Formats: sequence, structure tokens, C-alpha cells
Amino acid sequence: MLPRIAAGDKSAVRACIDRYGGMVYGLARRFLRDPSAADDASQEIFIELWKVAARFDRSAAKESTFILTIARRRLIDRLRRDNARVKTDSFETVPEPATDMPIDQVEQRDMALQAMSAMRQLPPDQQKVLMLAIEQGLSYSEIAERLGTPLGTIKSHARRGLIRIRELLAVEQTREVE
Amino acid sequence: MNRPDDTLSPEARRRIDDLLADDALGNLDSEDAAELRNLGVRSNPLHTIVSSLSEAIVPEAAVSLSLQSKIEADAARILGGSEPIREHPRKVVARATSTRQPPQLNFATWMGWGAAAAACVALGLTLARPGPPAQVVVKEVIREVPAPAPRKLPPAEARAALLAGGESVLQAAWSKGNTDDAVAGDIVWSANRQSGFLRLTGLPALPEGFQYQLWIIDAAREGQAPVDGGLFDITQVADARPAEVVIPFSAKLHVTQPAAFAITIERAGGVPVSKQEKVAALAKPA
Repeated sequence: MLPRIAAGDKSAVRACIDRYGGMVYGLARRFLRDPSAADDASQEIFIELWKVAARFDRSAAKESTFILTIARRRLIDRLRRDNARVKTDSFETVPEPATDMPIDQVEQRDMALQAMSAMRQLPPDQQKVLMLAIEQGLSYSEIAERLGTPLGTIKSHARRGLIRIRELLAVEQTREVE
Repeated sequence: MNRPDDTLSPEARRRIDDLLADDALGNLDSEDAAELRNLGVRSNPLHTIVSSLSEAIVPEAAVSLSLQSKIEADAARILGGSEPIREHPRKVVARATSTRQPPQLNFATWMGWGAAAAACVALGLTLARPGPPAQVVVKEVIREVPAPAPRKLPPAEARAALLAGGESVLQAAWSKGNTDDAVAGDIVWSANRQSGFLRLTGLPALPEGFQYQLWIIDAAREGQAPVDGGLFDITQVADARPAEVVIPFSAKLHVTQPAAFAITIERAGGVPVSKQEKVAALAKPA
């Protein structure tokens, strides 16, 4: 859809909102809680999306990953800006997800289920930290405060958990190839 | 370039992994970002994983028509042209949503509710709701019909396909819980897929700030928390005939031996620990 949008195809704009609007808005509602703030944030996300649509490379990333990464970044920035927290940074302007994952071979939902399945194999502490970070956009510090756990432990759980999921998915993909 | 160079030391690789995880989870500060750039890393494969998890965990939500209009107006302004893009309202379909933490209800208590459900079924207890009949429409999560992704069936069709597919599935009828709602329908569960469908009639719309939450009581998890099956909303249009909704759901943890299913009424966003004060429906496999 994004290349069509970049080419000025209005029907692709509609299709994109239909396909991803609920996903982006759901994320905004979960991160920001306030419906009007979620509305504003969703609008900002799509504005950015329209501006960078031409930079999407379908050979490098799934469209949903591209869009959700933009959405998460925008929402996290907004969440922490609104709460006067430490601003986070990113080392890339536009997300450019993995090219080494067979993302074209699996349907989006299958990938989500596989990722969830992998997460379920993590120790409960790692699952809990990742859930708070991914579902609510909480920073490591906020998670540490909420769980009453040292910051270093939270960082370790988050990092080890995510890397472990990557390893489990790689194993799963190897099995599929075999 | 997504992978660290092979010549990197294990420590350097670990450091890159840490920074990539921080970035994917929104915890990268300016110094860390600069460090990653200096390490020659230009993209982050962990975004794919976080996006996939986000898709599985975070519920979609209905985009209001006013927001759609604003987004489309922005698109017209940025991409060129000024004509309105959307000309028609969307139809809505249902989808279950997730909650943030595993619930922590006592298994034995839930089995008690399961027994109550069985008793209700045996006695044929139903309570008719007063007032005019209503059309039931799920408001959380929308996807236009026909869906843009051709391989994704509407929930009712997907449910029918699951039942017709020859796969071993579990099916159980809903009975009323401890509310006055005359709920009917069934639940279909695929152990293989760890997901299924709710088919419901009779559940009313909830007041603002409340949602229905599905729980799966796993006999193999005795003494542990029931498994979260997700959240969903229902809206009612007065003076319309009752309608049936079909809502897909998936277990957030692996379920081995589903002993009962329950729908509770909780505050919006779901709860990690249900007080079981309002149980709208129960289903217990034979």
C-alpha cells in the first residue's frame, strides 16, 4: 500500500487506514489512555506515515512492521514528553527491520503468533517486563518503579528476553526450512 | 546491515544486542544512539519482533469517523489533491483483544464457576432482559468488509471454516453467569491453534469504562491463574432485533486442558486479578 500511497493513489490511502488504523489507534489508546490524546497522536502518526511512505522498501521490511515501528516511536516520544521524562533517541530515522528474517514467507498474523509463542517460553519475569514495555510503552525506569525491582535487573530481563525471542524465532524458522 | 560483523568480540556483539533491544523497546538515549551509529549498525531487526508482539498483545480499536476524516484530509494535503477520500461508513466486525498481565484467579474458585455453569445448563435457566430488543454490534476493533487482506476471513466465516475443516475442536454452549443477561451461543476452541471463536447473543452493551473479559480455565494449571482470552466491547442499538456476534480470540498463554471458559465484566483495559463480581457467561465442555 505505501508505494501506491507515495505514488498518489487515493484508494491506497483508504485501504491503509482500513488495514492499519485500528492497530495504530489501539496502540495509541493503550499507551495514552486519553481518547483525545490518542486521536491527536494517531493523526500525527499518519501524517508522518504519509510523509515517509516513499521511503518504505518492501524488500527490506513488512509494511506492518514499518508502520507499527513509526507508531511506537511517536507514541513513546509523546508519552515521555507529556510526562516530562527523559527523552529517548533512535539511531535511525526510519525503521528498517530485519532483512534476514523470512518475513515475506509468513503471514503477518502468523508472525505475531510465533512471536507470542516464543515469548511464552521466557521466564515469567522476562515476560512481565516485556509486556509492560510493549503494551504500555513504559520505560525501564517506570517498570522498575512499578515492579519494585532494581533498574539493572529490568534492563537485563528486557534485553535477554528480546534476544531470546529472536533466537527462538530463528530456531523455528530453521525448522520450517528443513 | 543488520548483523554485527563476524570480527566483533562476543562482548561487542552483546553490547550491540543490548542497544538494539533498548532501541526496539524505546529506551535508547542519545549517547547510546550515537554509539550504535559508530558501531556501523544501520537497522534494527528487533523492531520486527516488537511489532509482531505488539500486534499480538495490543488490541485494535475503532477509529472514529471524525478521526478518519482528519487523517484522510492530511493525506490529501500532503500527498496532493483536496477531494475527500472516504465516502462511506465502515461495517464493523468483532475481534477479541488482549490484556497486559496474566490473571491470578484461584483455579478451584473458577472450577466452582464452571460447576455453576453446568448447573445452569442442566436447569435450563434463562432470564429475559426487559426492554426493547437490540442489535448487538461489537465496537472494539474494526476492519472493513471486504477486508483488504484477502486471506483473512470475517470471523463468522473463519469460525465456520474451522468447524468444517476436520480439525479437532472443542465446542461448548454458553450459559448465564451471575448477571441477568440471557446469553446464548457457544465457544469453539482449537487446541492446535490455541485460539477459537466466541459466538454470542444476549450480552448487553456495557457502561462507559467497562469491558467484557474472557478467561480460559486450564485444568493443567491447577493452582495457577486462568489464562487471559482477551477483552471485547459490545454496543447496542435500541429498537433493533437481537444480533449474533462472532469474536475471534486467542490464549495469551498455552492452554493444555481447557476445563471452562468464563466472560467477566471488568474495568476497561482488563484486570490482572478479577474479583469475579460480575460473570456474564460461562461455558463448560462436556
